Amino acid sequence: MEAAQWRRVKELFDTALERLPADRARYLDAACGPDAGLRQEVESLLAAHDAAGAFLEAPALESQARDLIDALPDPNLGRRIGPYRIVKEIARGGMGDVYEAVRDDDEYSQRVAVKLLRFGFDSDFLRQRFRAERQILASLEHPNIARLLDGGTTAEGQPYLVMEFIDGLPLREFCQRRRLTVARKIELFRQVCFAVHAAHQRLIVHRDLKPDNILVTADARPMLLDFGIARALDPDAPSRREAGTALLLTPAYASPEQVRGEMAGTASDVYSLGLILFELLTGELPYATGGQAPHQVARTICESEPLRPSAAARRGGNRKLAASLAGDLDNIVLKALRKEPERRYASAERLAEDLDRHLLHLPVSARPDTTAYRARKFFRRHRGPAAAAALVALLLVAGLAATLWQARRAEAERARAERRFEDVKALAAAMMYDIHDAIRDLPGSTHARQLLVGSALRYLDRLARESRGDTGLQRELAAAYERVGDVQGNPVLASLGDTRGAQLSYRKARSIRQALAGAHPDAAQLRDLAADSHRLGLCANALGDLPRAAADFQAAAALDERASLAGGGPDADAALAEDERLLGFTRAETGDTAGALAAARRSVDLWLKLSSAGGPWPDRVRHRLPSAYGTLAFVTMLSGDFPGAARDQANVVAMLRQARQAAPNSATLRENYAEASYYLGLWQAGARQDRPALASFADALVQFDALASADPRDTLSPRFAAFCRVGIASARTRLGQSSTALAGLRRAQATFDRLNGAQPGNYYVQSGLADTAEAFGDAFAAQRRWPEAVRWYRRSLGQWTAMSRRGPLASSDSGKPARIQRRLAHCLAQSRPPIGTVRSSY
Amino acid sequence: MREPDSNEVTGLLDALAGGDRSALDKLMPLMYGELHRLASHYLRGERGNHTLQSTALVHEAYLRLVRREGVHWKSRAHFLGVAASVIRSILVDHARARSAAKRGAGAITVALDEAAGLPTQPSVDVIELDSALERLSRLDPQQSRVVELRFFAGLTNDEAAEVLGISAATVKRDWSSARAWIYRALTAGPENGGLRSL
Repeated sequence: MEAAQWRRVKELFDTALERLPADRARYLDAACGPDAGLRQEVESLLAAHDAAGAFLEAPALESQARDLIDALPDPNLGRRIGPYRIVKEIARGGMGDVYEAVRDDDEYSQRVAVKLLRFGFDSDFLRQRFRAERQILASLEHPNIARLLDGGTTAEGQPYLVMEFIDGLPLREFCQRRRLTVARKIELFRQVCFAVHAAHQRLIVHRDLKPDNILVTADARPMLLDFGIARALDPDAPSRREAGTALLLTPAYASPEQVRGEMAGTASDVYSLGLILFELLTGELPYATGGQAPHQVARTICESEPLRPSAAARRGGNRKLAASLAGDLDNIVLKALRKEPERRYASAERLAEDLDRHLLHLPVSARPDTTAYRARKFFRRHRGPAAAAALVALLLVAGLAATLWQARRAEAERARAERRFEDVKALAAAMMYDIHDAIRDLPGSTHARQLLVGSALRYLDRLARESRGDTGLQRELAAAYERVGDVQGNPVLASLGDTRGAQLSYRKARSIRQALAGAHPDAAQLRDLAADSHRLGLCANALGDLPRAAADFQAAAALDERASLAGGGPDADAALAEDERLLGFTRAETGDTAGALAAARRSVDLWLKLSSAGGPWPDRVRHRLPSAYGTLAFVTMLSGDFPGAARDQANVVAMLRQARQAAPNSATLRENYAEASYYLGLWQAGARQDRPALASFADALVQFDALASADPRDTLSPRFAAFCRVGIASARTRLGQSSTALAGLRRAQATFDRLNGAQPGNYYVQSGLADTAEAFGDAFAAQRRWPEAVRWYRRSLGQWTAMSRRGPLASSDSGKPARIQRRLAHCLAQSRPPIGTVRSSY
Repeated sequence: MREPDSNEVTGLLDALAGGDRSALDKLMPLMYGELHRLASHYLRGERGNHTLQSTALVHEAYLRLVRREGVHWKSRAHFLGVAASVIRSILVDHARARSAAKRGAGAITVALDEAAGLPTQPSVDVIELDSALERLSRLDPQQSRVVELRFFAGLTNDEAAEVLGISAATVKRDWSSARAWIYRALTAGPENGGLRSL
């Protein structure tokens, strides 16, 4: 094609693109006339345009990022800087690159961090300034501040600084890896505040505080890096002008006064602390500055109002986090982030104090003292007596809301009524969420919570009748019904245990969402609707209505699949995988083994697909994939295939072991791992793989014993530990080591007896006693101690008989009485002494 | 290792702005090193939580290399223009260096966005793109530059317009037909893409 022809094609393409698609053909008819080649060319370009989607729209470095990852060997590696030898790169920063180095001119190879400064600092100036700053910084011995050790210029004239080497993770990464709770994050952050305050008292300002400048050691000690360095490098430090360093700062973390090139004092550090706290709590920054040019960033920092942390959390879809940040933490962070330095906290210490007051549920200084605020604080501190008062308040609010709704309907002062209606609605929601959460863990709060639920339902039912046509309100209503249902009786959350009540609330939510999704079947609406079916499946399952549960989970799966096809992304796929997993469980219990296997396999496949994606997603898959495999193993076991079940369960154990290496302190992972090992032992024992079973039970036992001794109130871990001991004893008996089985069985027996006293009538404790007795019988039988074997088998049988009078036995237990009968008969036959011999077998 | 001297870079940019094309040859290697190090630094994970923003990267390179207030706007435009070519050559060099055997699934492969685990837009075979751009530049050099500036340097229409000294509306039009042309060329396969005769 010639350039001239291309110009013509382009012109027709541009014009055609401006037309509606329906008009294009007519336009091209007229424009191309008989030139079919030209027309075909333009049409094929238009088709390419329509098919191209987001092609090339994202800049190359974003879309090609991973293709680009390569390790250019860094020429600085191995280089000698003064007495230090560079070992590896740690980080690259605005001022220079940081390397790990060792001092290898003496017998102790001291590890240090060397910062090679980037720009052409005047080296004489730097040396002088450095000496002066050393004097000041020497006074800054603080356990949370990395020390500046040395500094100078290389033979090539490049200036460098030597700092204490800190073996730790950057603050953000530390919090993510350890999955710190909000309270733990605040504790960590308070240590940072105190360190900054200590420096401020010596008139040393950091000026470049940011999460990357804070490392946290393995024992959770935050260490501040680069203290005093900005000042050491500032040519105009005595006059405290900042323009020289402004460019070196990380713009996103700079304070408004720094950005404007004004004096940066302790208040600037307080501001940066506010930003760090914001990011720590929400994972985001209050201003969206990513991708902006520096001057735009500066403008944003100086002019726009920061987001509230709770709003950032809500925008990120984390409602629970949003609720915990709303109020105090919002106010504390925003006070630190005020544009005017004098309106911020007077010191980093004050900021830390306010955070402490928040943790103690005392009023914080960062909030105007309104009556409602004081009341809420009082309520949190004196939870019991205030609960009743709060309920009265909720009833008032509900009544008020209804009245205002009437006012809104009457269209009298419509705008004002609507605004106040919104306020009241928000207040009611806060009451439902905050108050309920506050009293949830109180002993004896059940009645109060029931009243709360009752009032909330009356209020919601009333609103529901009048909400027709208002889709926004309907969505809120559905969410509120779901919330109330969760409180009433979500089987997998701490709830009031009213599963039937929960079922009713979820059904109300579902019928609202059905109407919404019917009108706009987009991925989000379908997901919400599926979530209701999922909740209903959980309820039906808990109520023992298995066919209904299977139908609900199947409905949820169908909806999530539609959501996935409608672009719901990995969230929809994840929900679908969980639907299928529970569908597998439920079908297995209804006896539909083939259907159960299919669903469980599908769940595993979906999680595998999700986990093969990169990025943070695998973190969420990490605990989901094992649970899907565990379900598959369980279903496989129910189908009678113990070796297959053991294979799948071995995957679970391997994955959890790996996860534990990354998070060795996680109690939840430890529990999951222990439980998975226990089941592995059971399936292996079922497959007659006695040696592996022994190892699995022993592995699980170690963990359960540790868990039990860590928490004396934990009744589950001792029970599992006792079951492990029974499993170990049985495996030993089968391996011909019955004499070593008895001690473990006695301990198991003692544990089950103790638990039986604490939880009389608990099915699992009772079955544990029966299993222990059977294992005793087996061990004695193996030693041909027939009378003892007979006694224990009878005891086990008696236990099972008593239990089956109270209700049906679990499917995995139902075959046991007959098995014991057979063994008992065998022992009785053996122990009947031939005439004339002495009963000498023991 | 020698750090590029900011005066040197600024001087070269000024020379380039003044019409001295030989300055480009000296400028490219300086910028290549810096952009390459910046890009691999961004990618190697210290900032792995953030998507790599080419605009931010170019701005950072600019700050680090030029670092002078009040540089003539024309120098800045030249910087952005050169940065686009440099990033293009970095990506192409890199793609060439990788084993050719790894390719073969066609010019467009679906990549997963690492940050979100979400399937995103197809990622582009840079070598195919590079040769398509070569061919496009023979039809319309300006359009080829527009693609380079927008795709490789991540510039907006307005910024690209500033660099090329044309209106943003022209950039937008050039982009639209160039993108469709390249898409057709890449999906049709390298041997016949863009070579249909009228």
